[in-house]
Amino acid sequence: MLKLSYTFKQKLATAVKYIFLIFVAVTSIYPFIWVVISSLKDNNEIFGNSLGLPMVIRWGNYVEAWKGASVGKSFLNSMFVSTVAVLILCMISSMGSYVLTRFIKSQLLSTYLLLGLLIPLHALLIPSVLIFKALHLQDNLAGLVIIYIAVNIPFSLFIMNGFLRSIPADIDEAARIDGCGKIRVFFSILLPLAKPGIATVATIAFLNCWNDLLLGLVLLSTPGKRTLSVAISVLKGAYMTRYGLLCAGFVISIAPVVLMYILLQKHVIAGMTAGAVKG
Amino acid sequence: MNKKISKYIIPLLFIAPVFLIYTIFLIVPLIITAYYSLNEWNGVSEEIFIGFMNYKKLFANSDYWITFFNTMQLTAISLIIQIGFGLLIAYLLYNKTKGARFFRTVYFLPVVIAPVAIGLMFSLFYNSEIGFFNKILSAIGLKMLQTSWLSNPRTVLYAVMAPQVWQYIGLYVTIFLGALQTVPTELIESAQIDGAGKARTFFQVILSQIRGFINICVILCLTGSLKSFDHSWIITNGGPGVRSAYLGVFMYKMTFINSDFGMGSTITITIVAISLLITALFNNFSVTEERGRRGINA
Amino acid sequence: MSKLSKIVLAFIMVAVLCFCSVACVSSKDSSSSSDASQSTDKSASPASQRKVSLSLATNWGEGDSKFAYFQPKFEEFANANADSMEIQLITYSTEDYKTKIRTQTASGDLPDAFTFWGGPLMKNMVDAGLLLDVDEYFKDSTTVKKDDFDPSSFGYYTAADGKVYGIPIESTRGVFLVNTEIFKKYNLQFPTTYDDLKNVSKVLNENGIIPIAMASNGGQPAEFFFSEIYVQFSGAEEELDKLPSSKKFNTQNALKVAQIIEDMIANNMFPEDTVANGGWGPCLQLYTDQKAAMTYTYPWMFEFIPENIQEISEIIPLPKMPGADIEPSTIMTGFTIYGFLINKASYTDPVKHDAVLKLCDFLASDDLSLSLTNSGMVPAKKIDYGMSKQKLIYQKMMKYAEGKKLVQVHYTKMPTQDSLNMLDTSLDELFIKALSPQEFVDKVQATLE
Repeated sequence: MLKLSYTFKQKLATAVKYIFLIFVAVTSIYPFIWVVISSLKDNNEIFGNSLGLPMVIRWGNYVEAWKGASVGKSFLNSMFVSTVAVLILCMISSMGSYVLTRFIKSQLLSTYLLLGLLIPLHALLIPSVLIFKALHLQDNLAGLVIIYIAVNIPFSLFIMNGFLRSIPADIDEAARIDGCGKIRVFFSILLPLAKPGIATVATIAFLNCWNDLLLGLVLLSTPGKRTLSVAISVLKGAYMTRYGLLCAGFVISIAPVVLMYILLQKHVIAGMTAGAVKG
Repeated sequence: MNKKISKYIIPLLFIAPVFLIYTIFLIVPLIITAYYSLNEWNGVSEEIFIGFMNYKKLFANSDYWITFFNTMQLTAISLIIQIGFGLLIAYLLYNKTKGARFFRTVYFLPVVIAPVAIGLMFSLFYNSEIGFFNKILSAIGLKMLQTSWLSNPRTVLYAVMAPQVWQYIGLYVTIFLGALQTVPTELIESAQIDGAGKARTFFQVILSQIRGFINICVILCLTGSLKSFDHSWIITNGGPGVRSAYLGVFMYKMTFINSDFGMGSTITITIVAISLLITALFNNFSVTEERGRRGINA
Repeated sequence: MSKLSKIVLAFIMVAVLCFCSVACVSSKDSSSSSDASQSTDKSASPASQRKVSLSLATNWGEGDSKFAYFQPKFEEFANANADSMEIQLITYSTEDYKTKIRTQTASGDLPDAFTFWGGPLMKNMVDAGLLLDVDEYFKDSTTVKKDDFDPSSFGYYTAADGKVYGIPIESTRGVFLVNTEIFKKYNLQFPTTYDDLKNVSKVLNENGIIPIAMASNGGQPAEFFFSEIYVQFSGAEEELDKLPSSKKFNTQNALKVAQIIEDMIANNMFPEDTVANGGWGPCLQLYTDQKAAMTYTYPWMFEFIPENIQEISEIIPLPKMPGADIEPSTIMTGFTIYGFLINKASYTDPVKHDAVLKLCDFLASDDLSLSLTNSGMVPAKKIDYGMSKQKLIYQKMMKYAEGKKLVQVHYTKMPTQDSLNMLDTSLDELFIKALSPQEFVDKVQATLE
């Protein structure tokens, strides 16, 4: 029997690995391409010619989607709400996680704070409307910011806990011996080390806020205050949806998220290599 | 005395914002929902207190158990595929792969796309006459596997599951990649110096280091699956009947289609209770396992 | 503190500040407007001197064909009345719209006037006394009278107590289309009996053409096809009329229809994949792609039928089913599909009454209905509108409709939302042969017990 040399086995394994990764990449990027292609078609072509390139390229879909969803305004609304929510969320959840992993290591408290993960979004709709009405914050973008923060707290605490726990307490000790107070330890030492965690939380939370439809639907009413995803959903029409138009809306909506993701990922990888060098 | 108080002031201040916002805007709605579940309410007239009647009615409803079982299947399949592939792909990327950053961005793309678009796309692909999947099957010679994916009662649930399970794998790849970065390189190096092969290193060293993250991902996957709604609703409305419906879909139908808010709230409470039970069991299992492991090493 | 941390902290401070300022500004806006709209303060200055805040909700958003014809008229109205009222217009697409109205109702903030569906969907609001009996409105109105509408058009908004709680705006007609070229190609005559239909289907199937593009996903469009067959049987029309109060769905006629559908499936008259091909869009697509020779659809789908297909399509009566007593060529499903409801509390509120009355006059005006017909809408009001601007298929439909007796459908007459929903999902199951006709009728009836 042929004994395959070690390097050959290695090269084969590497080739298989890359083939697999590329295959996954293709299946991952295809839907995005499909949405872009569909955005240039009308319903007849989307249903009748779902896989092919459009026979008539309808750039008009983008113009109509832009106008119909008032993209200028709704984009700003979404941007405002999402970034403010994510910034505040990252801050308070890393603070809270710091306490949960270093000081009040109560299982009960952790479980309590994680309960929120279990709640389906639809269940929040009516109670939220009632609560915000009582607080006189109905039809108010700030209300949306608050609920976005609240909804993302459980999972961000969860993830930050994981990242902070992986930083050994000895580092804390060393800093304390050097005279740092609790606050200084948090801001100067732990936070920089937990950057991958914060970046992960920020990415996913931003995505959740940006794509949210239901909370934006029930908590806001004035058309001028619509977030981007709500505005695009209005493009659906009463009886039938023109899917080409809708897909154009989706493309407009996805672009900034993809950009944000790319930007944040650079930061995460930079953080990683910095850590490795020091280690 | 002063020292004791001041010891806790800063931690309390630090955790206060999360605690307050969370309690007011997430826990209070949950309590309100629990209250509604004990009432008969159509969202318009006054609610009527009926105690646990909703629960009795719900558990006697066979549709509930069908959707329950569907959701359990979704959860199990999601766990295996999303965590499994997420970890596998993250590990492959972590292992000195060229273009890791490119792959990572691309794998995350599906996560970003609205479920409506994915749902529409898959509906068209599943169509037995004009759809993509049947065409591919006949192209690779597996014509006998062709079927009406959405009209065949045996396949409709899995057909509806597939896009959802597949779409979020990229999310776990991202989390696991972050997790793998926290593994100190010295540990890996020392294991390799000790003569461990790639597989050994992975299973014994790396996995145990990121155990915490795996737990996190398992719980995220569990809770996410138990709440599922979008894909099922968009592709088949949970139908035919309730064959492809999950608990979340059943709850939406009750609340917003049938206007039975009381029953809808009841279903929500059962979802929370089931999630709580499963996560508690899982936590228990992983803690005892951890203790057991440590016991052997100690 | 490291420099980066300082920058991040500064960022966050700014974020919190922005947030607070927006909260204050917005809550001042919304609380002042909500105060105005909820005020029943009788000590306030006379209604005519104070600007009233109204909320109007419609389903006709930016992605809908009616938007372009509603919006300008609305703005005209709002501007003309700017000194006495301030109207907030809320619009969302159908599913979102229903969710929004339901949450508004649940939190006690029903809009002052809003477009909505009648029949089973308005039942809860009627029972809770939230809606105005429109006879009161017609009494007060100087510009709109009940006689301006086709009498049958109020059926959709007539509740079980016999009173009318909504004003119809849009009517519709069901049409059974045939592709004349395909029929010519295979030398086929238009089917007039069920046996004809069977024979035609056999030939079409042999040549790889789907006989009828009809399917069921969420009960669409099957539910309307079911009704179209139903009304061919004697007594059926009366059963439908009485349905809201009799709550009897499982009539002999219903069973007959379910059995006919079962037989049609056995004769391969429908596409194989009824779930994936279900829904209005995919179903019609089979017909417009000329993969199917016949279909059954409604005017809201006309904008998706290409010109050339409109030209070769003809509207014929549905073939007469076995055991049917009524000539299909004498009837046509025609009913009100949409209109608007009036918030009773707002109308009877002395501060808001005049403003709400004017708003309703606008919504029910000939002028608005005329404008909306440009989007291909069939008006419920008796108005003169030219056919020349309408699509070819629309003109064919109105020509075909002349002299036909209009009948209701299950969609407008099912007593509760629960039962309508069960009808939809059970049709899905019937079409994939997962239920027998008897099981189907029983399942739907069970929700009405």
